[in-house]
Formats: sequence, structure tokens, C-alpha cells
Amino acid sequence: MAKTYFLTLFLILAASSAYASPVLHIDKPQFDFGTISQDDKAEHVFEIENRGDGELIIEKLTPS
Amino acid sequence: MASSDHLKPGQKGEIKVTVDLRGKFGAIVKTIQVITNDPLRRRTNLLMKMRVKDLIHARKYEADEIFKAPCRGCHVERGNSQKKFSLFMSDCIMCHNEGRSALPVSGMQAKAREEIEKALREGIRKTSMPGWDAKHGGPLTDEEIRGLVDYIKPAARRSRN
Repeated sequence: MAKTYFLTLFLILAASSAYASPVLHIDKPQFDFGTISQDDKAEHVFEIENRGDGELIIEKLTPS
Repeated sequence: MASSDHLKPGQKGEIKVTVDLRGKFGAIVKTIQVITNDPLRRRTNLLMKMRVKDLIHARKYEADEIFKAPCRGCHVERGNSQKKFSLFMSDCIMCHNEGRSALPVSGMQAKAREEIEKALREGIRKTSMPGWDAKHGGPLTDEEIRGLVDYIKPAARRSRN
């Protein structure tokens, strides 16, 4: 009996972790600074959100 | 730079991007590729656009300031004793060119000669185009102005009867 219980629990956990997936959501992925001077600092903060049900991992940021 | 590499479900985060503008000039598009474990979209691009001006050209000028220092060094004096095409290439081309602020020659040619001469002599209000003839505080003689109009839009040849 206990064996069946643990097996079921294991299956549920395995299934749920397999289906839990992160979803990266970025409201505004584009930003226009307009005209700026060479001595201005071009700095922008993009807001991101994990709208999925698994942990989102940012693996790498690659600038062009 | 990301605020955190790991976001729990529902959690918000930030990606802060700084672009070094030293030595940069003109229209610039910068993209950052974000690679995550999102199974449906591993790669997402962030995009930043900007138009970078050098220190001298970053501020707005009145049109006729171009005849004064420090502007005149490039915008007037290079054309001293030049005529027609070489005068255009000395004083006009830095603004009147593809991708620059003012109409290139091809665009001006669509206009009537009278209109080109008027703009050249009097300037165009609410733009950076000043009046170049002496009456409007400009440095050019009548002959130089006529030479420029002739270069920009040569008079139609009269047919011989």
C-alpha cells in the first residue's frame, strides 16, 4: 500500500516538474533613446517577468 | 546585467543595459540577445535605437549661427574662393547629403530654380538653412549664389531655332 502511495507521489512530482516551464515576458523589448549626445550615458533598464510556472534561468546575455 | 539570473514563477526582474557612446556617431541600433531556459523561446532580443550627435552638434542652433565661430570654420571658410561645384562640396555637402539633415542635390533638383535661389539667398524659416546672401547676413556674393544654383540645377538648354 505504502509502496503504491510513494510511486504515485513520485509520478505526480515527475509529471509536474516535466510540465512546469518558465515563460519569459518582456513588456517593452525595444527602446528608442532619440537623439543623444556623445557624452550622455545611454542606459536603459528592461523589465522582465517570469509568467510561467517553472523557474526561469537567464543563461546568457549577448550584446551585438 | 541582469538583477538576478533566476526568477521564480511570477517574479519580476530587470536587465540593465549601458551603451558606451564614446567615438560613436550617427544612427545606432544595439541588440542584446537574452538566452533563457524558456522552452518555447530560448532566444529573445532586446533592441535599443539612438541617434548619436557629437558634442558640437548635440545642441540646437539658430540657422545664422552657422556664419559665426565655431561653425564658420567648417561651414563657411572651407568654401572661400571656391565656386560652383567645389563651393557646394566645401560649404553645403555636410548638411545636403544622403542621410544628413538637409535635402541632397537630387531632392533639390525636383524644385524650380527660382525656389532654390530664394532658399539659398533668404534661407528657409524654421529650419537650419540660413540666408547666404549679404542682404541676409550671409557670406556669399551674387555670383557665388548663381554659381551654386547653376550647379544644383543647370538651366534648361534653349533650343536653337
